Amino acid sequence: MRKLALPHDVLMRVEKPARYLGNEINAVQKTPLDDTVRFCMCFPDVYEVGMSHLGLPIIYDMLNRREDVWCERVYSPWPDLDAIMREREIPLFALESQDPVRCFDFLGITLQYEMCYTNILQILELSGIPLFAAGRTDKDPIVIGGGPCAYNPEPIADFFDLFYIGEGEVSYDELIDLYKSCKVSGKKREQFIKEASKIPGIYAPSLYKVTYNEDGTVKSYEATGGAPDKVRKVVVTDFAAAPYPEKPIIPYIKPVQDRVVLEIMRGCIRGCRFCQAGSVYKPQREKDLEQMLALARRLLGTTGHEEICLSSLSTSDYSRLEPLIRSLIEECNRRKINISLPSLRIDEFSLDVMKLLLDVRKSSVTFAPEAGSQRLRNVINKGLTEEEILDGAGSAFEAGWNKVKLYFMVGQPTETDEDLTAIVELCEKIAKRYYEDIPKEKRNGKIQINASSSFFVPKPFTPFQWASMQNEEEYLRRAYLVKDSFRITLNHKSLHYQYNDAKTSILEGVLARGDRRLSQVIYQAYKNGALFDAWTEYFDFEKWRAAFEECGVDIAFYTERKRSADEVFPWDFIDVGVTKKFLLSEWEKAGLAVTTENCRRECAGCGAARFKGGICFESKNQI
Amino acid sequence: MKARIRFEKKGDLCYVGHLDIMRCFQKAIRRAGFDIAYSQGFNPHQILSFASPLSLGMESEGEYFDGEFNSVLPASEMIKRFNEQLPKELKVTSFRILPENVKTNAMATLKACRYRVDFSYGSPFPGDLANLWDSFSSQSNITIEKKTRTSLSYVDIKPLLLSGICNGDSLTLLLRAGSDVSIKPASVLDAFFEYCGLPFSGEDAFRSGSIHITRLDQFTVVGDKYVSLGEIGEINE
Repeated sequence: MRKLALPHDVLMRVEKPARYLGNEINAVQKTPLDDTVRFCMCFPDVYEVGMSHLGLPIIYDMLNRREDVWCERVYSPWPDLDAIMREREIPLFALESQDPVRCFDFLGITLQYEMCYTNILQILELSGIPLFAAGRTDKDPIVIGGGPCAYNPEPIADFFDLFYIGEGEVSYDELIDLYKSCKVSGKKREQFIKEASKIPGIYAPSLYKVTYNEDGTVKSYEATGGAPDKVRKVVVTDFAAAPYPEKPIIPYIKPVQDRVVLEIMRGCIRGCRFCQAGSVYKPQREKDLEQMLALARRLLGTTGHEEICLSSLSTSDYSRLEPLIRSLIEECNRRKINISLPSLRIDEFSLDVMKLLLDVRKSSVTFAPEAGSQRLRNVINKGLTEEEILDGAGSAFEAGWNKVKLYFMVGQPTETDEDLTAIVELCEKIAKRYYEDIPKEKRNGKIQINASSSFFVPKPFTPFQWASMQNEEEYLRRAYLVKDSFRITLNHKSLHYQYNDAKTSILEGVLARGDRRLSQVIYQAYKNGALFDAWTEYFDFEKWRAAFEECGVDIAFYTERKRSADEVFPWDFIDVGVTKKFLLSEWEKAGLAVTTENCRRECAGCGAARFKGGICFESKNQI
Repeated sequence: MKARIRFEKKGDLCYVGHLDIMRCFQKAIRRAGFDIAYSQGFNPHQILSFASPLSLGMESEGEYFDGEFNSVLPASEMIKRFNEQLPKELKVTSFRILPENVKTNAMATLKACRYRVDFSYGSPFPGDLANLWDSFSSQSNITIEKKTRTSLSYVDIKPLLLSGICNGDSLTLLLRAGSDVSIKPASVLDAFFEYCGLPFSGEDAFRSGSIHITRLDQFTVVGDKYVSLGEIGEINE
């Protein structure tokens, strides 16, 4: 019988002990043999957040399909358990076997957001694995990172042996086969890492030498030990045939997202210039309709969840959305199952669907204009006009809704004060539309508009990777300007505005476009006590500010500095398909507020066609 | 029709809280494809009502919930299908159809719970457990301090301690429970430990793992007898 790593008295002292049990329904248990490759997949945040993520279950399922691999999970111990583990010297353990992570062959860490970087160090330290890759021996697991933040792995390069650039379905088999053969032939860690660097999508940071210019920018990358000069991301070309978990783990405690997630599409046809996902997941690829319906039925049967979510970057762009939803709705209504449709564009069809799915009195319709003025929406290439927003809102009001949510970004390139007050004007126009279109007796109470903004963070591999950020003072000035403009509106009692923490965005900005010199800063911040930085109640910018000072690293160098067109970026050695030349032309078009068509209407020649799949090879002009 | 389900909660599952166990059953019922009744309204939910929540960290052989079903299979088949969908530490042991005239649910009819307190992990007692228990429980009244936010009062718990039998290293306690008046086993142990001159509370001993507490069963009153909640209703063949 499996014995828990934590004794009774510890489990009784910590909040939500079920986070650490690992015996959930559909969790994979195996009896490991001598040559079983033990893989521990980590989401460096708390269990409920990690268990809501779609990517890890795909890899967990895929790896466990191999008889010679046992893939398990680990999440960040919450601060209460963290303190007990340090005090009692309890090593961090994988959930399924409850065995120490240090005994594993691989520790895979998913990098979903920059603010989890200190949690990576917590995982390593509690596991008893040296924090810096250079200090590891043959007894330590191979630490490999993947996920969106791996597209600029440099700030955390010193902590990782390998990074996986691209989609997990492609190269793991080859990597594990190589690991096994190295183990059999008695090859050392360094040799494995060297050979792994030749596998498509695998980046071994220790094999690359970086030199810097006098001004602090990157001068060059030099590959050594036979590693390729450029690491090209790997993508699934036959997306319909890609494996998908049919028996996902069902947690006991309620995860943030407690539902079946059906990935209907990967990548996005849109070319929003701020969006990293839009670039790095190109080309857009769809799953087959019949396959999705069959999978939906099976997943609802194997999980017993009450909700199914059709997941993608832009669900309205799935070409078979209407038949998919029409078929699902009937079955889900009968089985009392909710359908959740995130990232939906508001139009007649989606409102029809939403009326069937949601209680109009309680739910709200959501728009993400991202910018208030049409000029700025053209700069960011959002592809959404004011007319579309107002018509969408108008139709929603006709259908009975009176709650509207709007998402904006503040601090985007070329933004002026007029663009900021345009946020308020747009909200006012929506409110006006409600009072003009809907006669008093048909109104479902007052209109409620909730606008929220985040501060724009430029990301690698986007046209805005050249953009400068503002300092905290300027961000707050802009947010106050919006807030103050809301206060003097006619409908100010119905309009609500909130903005996020500027310090978090600034730190995210440093880490997103950072280089290898930041590994020391992250280490220092962790030593200063930074942990769970993605949690507002734990985030303490002062710990970070001190770390930057102690390491002599200037925040503004990464955030506010103007980047020239020919600057070598820390992530330039990675090839995501979309070319730097294309991104630069988009950056220049942004400056002129010139838009670019989406992939389905017209190929913009971004470079993703080299992957020979998806939308790049479908006929154009369908919309 | 309303059915009463009895289940065990053992092993590692004792660290899964009451609400999460409810969710676990809701999902198991969906996976099993049972013909459960749903509430009306925009967010229909299964009509289930659970009896007294079990303290975190405690195992149980006698937990209950009532569920409203549109149709059922024979009891043995219902039990089998439940257990195919549940982790082995959570096991349905009985399924009975409640009489039509039973209006109230398991929680509302609850009158007592039986617990076993296991001291086999190292007896903390200064003498023989059976003797100590006998003299403790034969007191004419057993007064404990009851602290609330604003006041401190003294309560005689003797009437709530329905019976206590010592058996080797363990005590079996039948304690009053229910929405009107109830007492936790740890509170009885507080008084017993104090009587024995032990420097820790029942709750401390339970949380540290030096004693194990298992709920054995839950009871209602029929006539003047305590009857197990699991004996109410009929087994449909």
